[in-house]
Amino acid sequence: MMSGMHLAGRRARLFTRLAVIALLVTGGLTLDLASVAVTRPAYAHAYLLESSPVDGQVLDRTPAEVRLRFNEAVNLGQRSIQLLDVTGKKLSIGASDYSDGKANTARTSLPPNLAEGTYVVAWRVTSADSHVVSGAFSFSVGHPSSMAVPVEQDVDPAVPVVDAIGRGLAFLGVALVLGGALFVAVLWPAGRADRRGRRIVWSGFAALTAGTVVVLLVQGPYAEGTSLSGVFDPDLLGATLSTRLGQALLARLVIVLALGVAFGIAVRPILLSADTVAVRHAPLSADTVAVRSAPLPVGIGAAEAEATGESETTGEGEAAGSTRRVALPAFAAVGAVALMLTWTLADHAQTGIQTWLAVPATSLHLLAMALWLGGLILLAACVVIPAGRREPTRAISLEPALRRFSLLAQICFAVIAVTGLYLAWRQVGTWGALGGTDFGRLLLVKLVLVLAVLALAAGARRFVRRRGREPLGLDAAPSAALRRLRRSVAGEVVLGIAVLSITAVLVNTAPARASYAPPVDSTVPFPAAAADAAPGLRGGSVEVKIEPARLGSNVADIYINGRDGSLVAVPEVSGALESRDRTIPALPVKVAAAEPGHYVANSMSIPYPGDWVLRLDIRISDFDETPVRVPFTAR
Amino acid sequence: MVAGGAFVLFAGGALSGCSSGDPQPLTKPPYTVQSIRSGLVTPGDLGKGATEVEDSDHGSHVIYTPPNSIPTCPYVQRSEDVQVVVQPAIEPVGGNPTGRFIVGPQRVGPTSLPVVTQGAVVFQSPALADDTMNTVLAESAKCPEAFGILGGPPSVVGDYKVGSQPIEMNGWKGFSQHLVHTSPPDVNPDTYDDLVTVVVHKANAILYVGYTQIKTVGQRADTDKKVEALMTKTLARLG
Repeated sequence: MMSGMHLAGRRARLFTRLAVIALLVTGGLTLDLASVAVTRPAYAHAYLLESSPVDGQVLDRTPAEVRLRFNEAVNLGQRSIQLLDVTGKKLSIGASDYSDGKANTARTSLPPNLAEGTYVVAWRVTSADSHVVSGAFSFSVGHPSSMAVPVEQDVDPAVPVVDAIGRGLAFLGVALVLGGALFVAVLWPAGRADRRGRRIVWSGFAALTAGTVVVLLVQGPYAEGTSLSGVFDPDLLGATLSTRLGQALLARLVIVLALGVAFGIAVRPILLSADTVAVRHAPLSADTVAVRSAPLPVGIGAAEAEATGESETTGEGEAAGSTRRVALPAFAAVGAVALMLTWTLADHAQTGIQTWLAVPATSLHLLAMALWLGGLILLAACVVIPAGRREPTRAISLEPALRRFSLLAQICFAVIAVTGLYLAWRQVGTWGALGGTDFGRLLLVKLVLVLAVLALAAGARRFVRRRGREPLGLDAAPSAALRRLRRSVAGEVVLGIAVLSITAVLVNTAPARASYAPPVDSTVPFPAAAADAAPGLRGGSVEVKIEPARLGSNVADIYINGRDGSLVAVPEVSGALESRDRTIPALPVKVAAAEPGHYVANSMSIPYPGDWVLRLDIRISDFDETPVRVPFTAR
Repeated sequence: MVAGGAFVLFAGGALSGCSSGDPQPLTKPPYTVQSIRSGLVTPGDLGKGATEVEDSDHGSHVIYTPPNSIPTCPYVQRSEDVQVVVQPAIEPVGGNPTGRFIVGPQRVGPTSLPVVTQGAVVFQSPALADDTMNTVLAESAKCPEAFGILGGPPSVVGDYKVGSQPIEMNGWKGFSQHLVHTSPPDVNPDTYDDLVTVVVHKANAILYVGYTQIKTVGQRADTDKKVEALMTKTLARLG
């Protein structure tokens, strides 16, 4: 007995030490991530503020370097800046680095004496939210030359697919780890003795680890725009580990390891007396089932005690019991929160608006999803489906696991609904963005699936409430009702995994609020004073359509309308782009005629998002010209 | 108006293509001369009253481009004021052309169906198709934004405005070149010709479609939207 107490004490101390070390490591990494989030505010995906040379600039001689300034700090890779000639051939240039140590400004040196002609600068950097953004602009030395091929970055399409699979696997894994472990260790008294339940949770640990490793390995090729052959490239892996996402993934692996140890201890049988062991291995008697079916207080230690029927009056039981009652739940709770932060401190939550609220809201959203889905899968696989089959060799009771899980699911749904609504508003912003962006459309599909889950869950909830009021409890439900419950829960699981899959794609998609750029379609009246020189334009208007109305190259269609809406041709239209606050000089816009009365600027370059004015100088006769200003907002 | 109608027919002859099917994929890469034709516009695609003819007699057209060629800059060869040398079409090397097909109404006018002139070239390998497409892109990039034609049949005399944009439909990538032809006021002040030439490339094939309408002056050009909608449907048949 004394040796048993000594052994249990040593294990408790060892666990405490391991827990402290794990907490320090994960806490340090989490704090590091948090401090980065606090000290480097970001605004969703990065965008280019300015470049040198500027887009379309014609220079007398080769510039010494290319410099790109972004709105936020960016991570650079080996191929962050590339120089291409008019045929798309990549030219040898210097390595990309930060200009004057500024994390938001990239530069690279150019070779002297470039041949005369047009060159394309293709850039590709990683935003603060770990997503990759890219773009291109051109400049000319001496004189412009025609581009022979459109500029494209050679991204292997398999890379984002594998990345999404990794993220999805990690989501499923975290659900099984947190929700599954809670179900096995707390909600279901017989859970820790159930091999199937433990295996499912362990498979969750494996999925979470595998998914995290996949994302860690793929991020390098994703950021560099290369193929999957680069996943084991030490340079790319090193570059990934130097980013916030890489540190978050590393922290996640450490936390998963620590939680795995904790779960192993939680489900490990306590050293028992010979009598207790005999009881545990004996076939389940009606009394044992009755004990398992009795209402239990929530808590790992309490559940353990009642599930196994063991006495904790011995010293070994006291030591192990205190570990399970106090240390393990506390450690699991801290681990769960830290685990959530490895997503939310390196993803959309920590960029954009209201990050102070978005990070906790996203963490709660993810945690509630994990607890619900993981618990649901365990409930389906270990309780509802076996109980529905009425397997003769197993005495599976719906009580109290189903009732407890139903209560947990209600709480989780409430949290998911509240946080989900807030996050949807935060990431989408407008109704137009909901249907007008990939992010918005994915969100709508996710919403439909979640509503379907809710409908099924409501049916299961009705089952619990109706059957729970009957004297014999849930287990006395007729077979037909059990079959319906089984189908309903299985449907919830399938839909829940579908929701997870969509979420895995969603987190890798540019938020709608940042990506939504509704085309500009603005009409201004033609100046009445000028219409005297052009009677056909009296009462007319100037309509301007700009697509996509965002930074970079845009197409502007200009229609000169008469009073009846028909197009009216004028001798000439020229244009310039002015910043609303006039902080930069007007940028010339090349306008060409199309059909009579229609004029087109095919490559109007908008240098950065914000408020702009397209100034049109409309020549209406050989001697008269009138300016028309069309304000618009570029995203 | 008559001149405009004649122009549309000439435009048909200056370009190339053909055929039929429903929106479901009927084939997949690599394409053959036969299978690629399922992605061309049929009279059924264009509307009631449309007919199809194979354009094998390029010698009768005012704009000479070989029937097996891929258009890059239509009508520029008749211009007297173009400063750069531009090939109006590229004759592919290492490819088998389908020939050129014209789908359109019996009589052309501002209210009639458009005229579609189309064709395709199937190459022995995607690399050969890539090389040819690069040549086509390079040549079309030289197409001037504006030029004029002073002489020749009245139907082609006038001012030409050209605009080009990249385009992608169902995995086919290329360019859409919009050309507006206005006649001198003393020849035809009422209508203009609204022509879009689309050249797209996928796998081992290059496909081109010229879509021409006559529009009344004052109306907005809409050929680019119409041809994109039409080709989204027809290219879907190619898988």
